[in-house]
Amino acid sequence: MGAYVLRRLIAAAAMTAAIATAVFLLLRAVPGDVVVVMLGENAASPDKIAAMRHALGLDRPLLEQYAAWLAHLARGDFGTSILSGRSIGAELAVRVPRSLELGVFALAAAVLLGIPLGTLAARRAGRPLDLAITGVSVLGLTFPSFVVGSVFVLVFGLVLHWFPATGYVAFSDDPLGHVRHLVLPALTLALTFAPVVLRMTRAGMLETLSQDFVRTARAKGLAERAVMVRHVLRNSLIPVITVLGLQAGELIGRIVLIEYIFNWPGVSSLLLAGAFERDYPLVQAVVVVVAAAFVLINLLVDLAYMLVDPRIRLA
Amino acid sequence: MSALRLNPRIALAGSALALLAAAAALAPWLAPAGPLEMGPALLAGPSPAHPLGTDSLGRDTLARLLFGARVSLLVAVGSVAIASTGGTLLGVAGATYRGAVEWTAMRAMDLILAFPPILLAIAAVTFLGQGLAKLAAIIGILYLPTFARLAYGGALGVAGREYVEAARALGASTWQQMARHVLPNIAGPLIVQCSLSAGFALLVESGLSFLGLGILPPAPTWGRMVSESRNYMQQEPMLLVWPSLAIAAAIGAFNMLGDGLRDALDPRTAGGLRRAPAGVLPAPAPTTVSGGGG
Repeated sequence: MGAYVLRRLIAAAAMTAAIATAVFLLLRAVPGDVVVVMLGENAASPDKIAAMRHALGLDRPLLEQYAAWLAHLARGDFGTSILSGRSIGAELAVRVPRSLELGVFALAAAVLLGIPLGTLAARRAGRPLDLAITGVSVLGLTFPSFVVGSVFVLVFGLVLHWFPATGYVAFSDDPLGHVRHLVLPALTLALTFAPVVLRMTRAGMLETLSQDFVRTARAKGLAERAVMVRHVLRNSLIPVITVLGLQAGELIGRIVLIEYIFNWPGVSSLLLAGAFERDYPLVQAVVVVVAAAFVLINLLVDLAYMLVDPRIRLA
Repeated sequence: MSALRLNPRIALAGSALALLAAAAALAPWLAPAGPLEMGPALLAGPSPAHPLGTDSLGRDTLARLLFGARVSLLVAVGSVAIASTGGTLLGVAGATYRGAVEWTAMRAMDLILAFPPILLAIAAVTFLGQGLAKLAAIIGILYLPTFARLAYGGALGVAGREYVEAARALGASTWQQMARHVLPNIAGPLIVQCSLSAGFALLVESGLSFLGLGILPPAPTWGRMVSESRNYMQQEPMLLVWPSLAIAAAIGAFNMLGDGLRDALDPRTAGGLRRAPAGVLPAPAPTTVSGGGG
C-alpha cells in the first residue's frame, strides 16, 4: 500500500513538472515577436520593447529563463501581472477560495441530486419513472452550461427576481446576500453535472443488482433496505467516484464559463482578462496553478479509490 | 450495412446532421439576408423579411444561424479529423513499435489529459491566436489522447491474434499488417468516438465563442449569438432561444449518432451476448466494420 501511494505521489510530481515545462514552452509558441504582440503593433517603440523584454526575462538565455521559471514556481512566486502590475500570487490567493466554494457547493448538489435519482431510476428500470428521469438527464447533457446559465439569469434573476441575476457579495459583508448570489451559479453548475452522476449511479446499480452476492443477500432473508444500502449502493459507488475524478477537468472548465456568466470574481475572470489582454505571464500562472490543482484532485481521487476498494490496496 | 440502417437512432441523428450540413452548405442561398448586413429593424420579431427576427444591430437571425452552422460544423469535423487521424497513428505506432515510441506517445497524451480541456483551449488560443483552422487544430489536440488510447489499446489487443500472426508469417510488412488486419478490427470504437468527439468539439467551440475566444468577430457563431443575446434577452428572449436550440440539437444529434453506432458496431450489444461472463466466451472479433451488427 505504501509503495502504491509513493508511486502515485512520484507520478503526480513528475506530471506537475511536465505541466510547468509545457506552459513555459507556450510562450515560445507565439507566432511573431511575443513582446510586440503584447504591446500592440502601434504602441511598440524600441525602448518599450527592450524594457518589456527585460522585464519578462526574455533577454536571457533560454535555459536560464527555464531554470528561473521553475525556481519561482517552486517558491510559490507566480510573478507580476503586466496588466495590473500586481502580484499574481496575491490575486490568486483571493480568488481561488471563491472558485473552490462554487465548485464544492455545485459538486455537493450534483451528488445529492444524482445519486438518489440514479438509484430510483435503477430500481424502476424500464418503467415510466426511469424513462422520465433518464430523459431529463439527457437534456442536462445536451444543453451546454453557458446556455443553462444564461436561461437562469433571465428566468430566475431578471424576470422572477428570486435571486440576484449576477454578482458577488463577500460573506463577511453580508452572509445572506453571499448565499443568495451563490445559488444560481452553483445550481447551474450542479444541473449540468448531476446527469453524469445520475447515469453512472444508475448503470452501476443495474450492474450490481445482477450480481450473485445480491441474490445471496436476499436469499438469506436480509431486508430489502439493507440489501440496497449495504450491498448494492456501496458497490455501485466505486465507478461513481472514478467518474467524479475523471470529470473534474470538465467541472473546472465549466466553472470558467459559469463564473463569466454570473460575474463571480473567481480565478476565471483573472484568466479571461489575461487571455483578452494578451497578459501572457498571468495566463501562464493561472494555467499552471489550475492544472496542478487538477493533478492534485486526480491524486486524491486515486487515493480515495484505494480506501474504498480493497482490491487496489492489496494489488 | 443493413444493421446500420435498421437502427432508428442512427437514422434520426444521421438525417438531422445531414439536414444541418445541407443548411450550412446552402447558407448563402437559404439566408434571407447577409449575416453581417444591418437592417433598419432592430430586435424585431418574426416577419416575412426576417423569419426569425433580427438582433440588436438589425442583422437577420436566421442568416446568422445558418452561417454559424458553417463555423460550428467545420470546427467540429476538422478537429475530429485531426484528432482521429493523429490519435490513431500515434496509438497504433505505440502498440507496434513499443519501447521509446510507445513511451513518448502515451506520456505526451497523459500530459494533454493533465489539463482541463477548456483551460488548455483558452491558453492555446491566447498564445497561438484566433482563427478557424487554429481553432480546429487546438480542439483537435484536446481529443487526440482519447483516440490514441483507444487505438493503442485496440491495436495491442489485436496484435497478438492468430490472423495477425499469420499475416506476419506470410511476410506482410508492419504497415501492411496494420492497414489490412489491425485497423479494420479496431475501427468500430474509433468511429463511435468520432461522433461523440464531434459533439464535444462543438461544445468547446461554442463555449470559446461564448467567451469571445472563438473565431474573430464579427463572423456569426452560435456561441457568440448566445453571448450577444444576453444584453437584450429581456426584450427579445428568442435571440437566446434560437442559437441555444441549434447548439443543443447539433450536440444531441452527434451524441445520439455515437450511441446508435456503438450499439450497431459493438458485437456484444448488437449480437445479444450482453452479459457473457469473461473467459467463457472468447471476445468475438468482428471481421469487418459493419459485420458486427448482425
